[in-house]
Amino acid sequence: MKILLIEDEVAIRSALSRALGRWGHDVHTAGSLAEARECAQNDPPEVVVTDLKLPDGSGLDVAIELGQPFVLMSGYGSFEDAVEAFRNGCVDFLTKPVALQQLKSALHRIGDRRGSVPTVVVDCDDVSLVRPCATSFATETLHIQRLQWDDLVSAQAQVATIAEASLRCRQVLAELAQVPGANSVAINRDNQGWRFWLPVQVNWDDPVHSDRRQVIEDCADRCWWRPQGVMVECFHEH
Amino acid sequence: MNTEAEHTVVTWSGDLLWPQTLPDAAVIDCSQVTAVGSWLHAWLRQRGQRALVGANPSIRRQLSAARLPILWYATLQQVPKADVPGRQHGVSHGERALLLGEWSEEDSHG
Repeated sequence: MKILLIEDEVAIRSALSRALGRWGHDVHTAGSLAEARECAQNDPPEVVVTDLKLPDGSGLDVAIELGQPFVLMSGYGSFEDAVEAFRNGCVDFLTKPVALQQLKSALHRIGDRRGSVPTVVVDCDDVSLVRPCATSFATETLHIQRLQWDDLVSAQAQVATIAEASLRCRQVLAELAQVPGANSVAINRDNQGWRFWLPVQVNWDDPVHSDRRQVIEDCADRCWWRPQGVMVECFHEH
Repeated sequence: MNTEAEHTVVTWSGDLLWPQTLPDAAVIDCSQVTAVGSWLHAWLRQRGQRALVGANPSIRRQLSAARLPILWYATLQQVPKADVPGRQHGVSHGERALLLGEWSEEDSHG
């Protein structure tokens, strides 16, 4: 595949470029947004692999602009960044230092699914993804927490401690906690609303989940149903 | 009609978002229930037809969307003897009200 690699750190750019070349890809590199735009204009890429934080802006912006499947890399990625990326066609969100195997897997998925809607893939067990870093991307009110439970009694007790959560948020959390196999959920709250990420592999189209799915969709403002989990967003009620 | 004397009625209350043991009866007073979880759909499906009284509009919407065998009433006084779940024939008062669109949002508040 024709890949545009955007990375400002020379050593990382060089190492990734070599790896991508070894895997048989046609690699073009850029160290900034300006270079990336110029490069894409001369030779439009099929896939973009970009650092999130670049000297002249956000790699996410240029990835969205180019309209191709993309993989985002960041050492400072917040949960908000991930949400924004997934909304805009991100295939994978890798935390630095990037594991080459993860990058390779992400590119394979793109290769397998070219022409179809990109699949959202996120490894939310990687706590660095949801770490509330003090980056320019995180709002002042960013608040992230993770609930983990062994049984539903424990889950219920933890949800009860989230005093600020509205009834519908608690209803969403209760439904998510009761998904078979679920034992943790990441929660992001900012001044716009709540986001819940349940990292559990489920076939959401299976009729056995239809009641739960219906209830969650009724309570939530937006849902992203994915094979790797579900992200649910509830805006604050004003 | 003193309906409560004629039917076995149980009362549920609070938010029923998590699996729990609930009392069961042909007529269930839900007027103090704030929300229900999908686990209750399965609970109701297993038990067959029940008359739910005083459920708030969002609960009615939720359980109706799940196509559960429920007879809806605004108040206990509206539950006629003939509407005891398990009857074999006829259209109940509650069903008639639903069919004719006589059920209003205010009904749920008694």
